[in-house]
Amino acid sequence: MHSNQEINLPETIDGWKVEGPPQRIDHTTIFDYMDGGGELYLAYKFKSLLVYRYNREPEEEMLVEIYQMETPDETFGLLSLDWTGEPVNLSSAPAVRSENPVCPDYTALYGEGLLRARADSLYLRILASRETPDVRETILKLGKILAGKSPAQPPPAILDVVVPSTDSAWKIRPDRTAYFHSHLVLNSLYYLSHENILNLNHSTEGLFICFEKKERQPGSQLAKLIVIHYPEAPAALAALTSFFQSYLPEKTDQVDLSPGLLKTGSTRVEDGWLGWTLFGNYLAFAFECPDQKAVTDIFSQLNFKTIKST
Amino acid sequence: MKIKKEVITRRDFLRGTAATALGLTVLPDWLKAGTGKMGIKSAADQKSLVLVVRNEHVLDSSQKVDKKVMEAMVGEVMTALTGEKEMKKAWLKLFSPKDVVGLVPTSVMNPTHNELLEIVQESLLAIGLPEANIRLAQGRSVDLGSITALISLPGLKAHWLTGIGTVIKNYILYSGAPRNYHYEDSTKLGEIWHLPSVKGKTRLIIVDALLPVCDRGPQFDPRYRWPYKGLLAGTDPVALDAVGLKIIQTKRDELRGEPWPISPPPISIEAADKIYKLGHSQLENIEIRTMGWAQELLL
Repeated sequence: MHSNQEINLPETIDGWKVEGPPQRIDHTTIFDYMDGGGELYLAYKFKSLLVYRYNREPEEEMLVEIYQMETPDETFGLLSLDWTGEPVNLSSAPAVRSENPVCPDYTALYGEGLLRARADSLYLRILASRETPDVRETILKLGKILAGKSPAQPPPAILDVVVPSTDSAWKIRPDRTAYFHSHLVLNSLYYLSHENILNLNHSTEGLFICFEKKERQPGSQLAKLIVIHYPEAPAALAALTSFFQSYLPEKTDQVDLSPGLLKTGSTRVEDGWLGWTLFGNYLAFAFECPDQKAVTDIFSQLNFKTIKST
Repeated sequence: MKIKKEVITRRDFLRGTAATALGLTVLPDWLKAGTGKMGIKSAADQKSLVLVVRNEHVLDSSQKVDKKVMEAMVGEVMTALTGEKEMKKAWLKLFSPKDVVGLVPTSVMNPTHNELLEIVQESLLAIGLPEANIRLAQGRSVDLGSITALISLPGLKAHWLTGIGTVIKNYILYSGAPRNYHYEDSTKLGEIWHLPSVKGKTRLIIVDALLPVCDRGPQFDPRYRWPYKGLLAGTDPVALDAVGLKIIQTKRDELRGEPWPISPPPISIEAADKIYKLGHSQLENIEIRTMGWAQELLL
């Protein structure tokens, strides 16, 4: 299923009855539908939204939201904002799990009456006003109607730049990995600045990844990695320059920000060591590292050459 | 190349200099000239009072509100705020039968419970306000000019663009341009409280914390709603947001078993204190008086 225009949900299911035709939302009406929440979907290349409402006596409601995004990568991004919940399989084929050390391979997550799922270029949210075992069953049935025949989609290609190393003292927390384009989304994951200091937009792709020490003490800090792919190398260099001017202004005249393929370095700031590395049109930062070696260890798990140059 | 852009970053928060940076970058000229005269905030040596009243029976197992229990909770709040045990006297200390009162609930994400609105409305009717003088006042098209008093009744919740979306943000639609107060511009939310049609009208704030939402949203996720079964009340919007933030942040850390900071940082709270002088944002300047059910108080 590639488009939410092709969807026909049942008028009745398990005693639930659909309330009228679906509400159709586009980018001009999304703020009327969900106020500032619309920014999230616009940040992930939103095309349109269909909203079905089901009712069942007494006073039970179920909301079915079907978001049409431009590409499957966008639906991955939306799901990646929260990997918690019960993984469920909506596909008619048995789930085939491949171990992915960078992020979970879930395509649908359920919890307390809310199903979130990705199916091709559709992102689904089905929310019941009250959860019971039979409500859960109905939600999953609707999920299967919508997603059951969708082909499996790989995660965004940018994830291939992360190559976990068994030799490193630092390992990835896959349940924290997120994919994004916009600084608003980045800020909701990890705050850098209220301003867009990395020049993020729809043409850029970003990864947020948390690392923990393999021999981690409870309560010890996670290190954070941000990787951004820019459409071309000058844009990546411009973003690094912008970052220095805003975030590390005292270092701006100590680093080489002239054009060049590779630039890397680290410095100590208020919350630990901060590292940066620029490779062509890729830019990466490591934050909250306890020492300089941690920066090196984390960057050693990046291989920008694994991605075809754009 | 040595250009210091006036940009607030994570480092400003780590250094504790965000407020200074805010003052430099945000304060509009019309407020710069008059900061000393805004006069909403109480004196520095006077703590703001925030009441936290909780009752474990206010919600049943299906999370329906027991209105009688909630009524008693509102009564406790009013007595503690006014010193009056008799309810009519308590409400008359804050409102006159001649007032035109606007009730400002939250409508999205974590909507204010109707029972709270009904209790407030019934209390105002009981002191002699005509029904026509009690108005729902949430939205862009509210006639604020005719309203003499506001009661803010937001639901306690985190917010994905502003960190927290409770008291200070509750008047965002009065601006006529809510998108202008998201992202970095959430620092300016406090200025809405200084609009001539809004300033000085808020006489009571009751935060509906029966079922707060501790995740940022933007859409509701029931896994992050929990039965706190409380009301927060007072007259200082900044102090109420600061206490609400403390509750939400503590719950988030508890859920993850490790620090899970609200992101982006709710910069509007500090800005409302340091720039717009609307109240106290630092917990040491707030007297938190708790009443009732004490389990998982998170304070």
